[in-house]
Amino acid sequence: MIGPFCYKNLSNDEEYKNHLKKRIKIYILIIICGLVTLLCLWMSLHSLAEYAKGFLAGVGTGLIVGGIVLLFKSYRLLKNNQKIREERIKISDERNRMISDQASKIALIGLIIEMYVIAIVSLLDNSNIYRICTLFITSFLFLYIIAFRFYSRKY
Amino acid sequence: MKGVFNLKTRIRELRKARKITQSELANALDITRQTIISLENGKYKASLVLAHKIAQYFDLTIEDIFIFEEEENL
Repeated sequence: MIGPFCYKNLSNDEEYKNHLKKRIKIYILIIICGLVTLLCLWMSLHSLAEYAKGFLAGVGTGLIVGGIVLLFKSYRLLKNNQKIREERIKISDERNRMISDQASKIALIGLIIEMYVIAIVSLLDNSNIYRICTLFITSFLFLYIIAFRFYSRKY
Repeated sequence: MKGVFNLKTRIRELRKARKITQSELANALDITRQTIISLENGKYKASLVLAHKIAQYFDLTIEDIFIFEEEENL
């Protein structure tokens, strides 16, 4: 499975199987989140704006479909030992992990720049968006300091 | 004068001498074939753990496989 935070150091197939079993629980949770989103939409169908309805319907359906696809793929993987090994090598390969880390770093820098631009532009007519963007940027920096201190003590 | 360090590997040479394919080597080391290609081309530098695994596989020392050269900048 390719994507941010998918790569992990796994030394054997058994470890990967246990990792997949944990992931299955997360996928079930994703499907439940999708169902809850659709339930919220159904309960407040008359009070929501058209844009909000479309957004909730899209998010809900996306979570359910995505969760089912990932769940199906995981069950299929668990039954095939050859595929398990191939997939484990792919996700625990140190070069792939390095590439994923680099890609995440670039995406994060892009996201912060976007937030900054949105914050500046929103100052012109919507101060709430400005506040949300600056909150995100500040919380990112705050979390970074906490994580940095945590890992400095760990290693 | 300040030196620039360059890491060269003998993986390709050793692999060909022992008639091992990239896929076989990747399989034995539990890494992808693309990583072997990048290591052989010098695009990717192996971690200490991987360097140790490679050295063990070829029954050599890390220094025999990974050559640390200093290029002098004038």
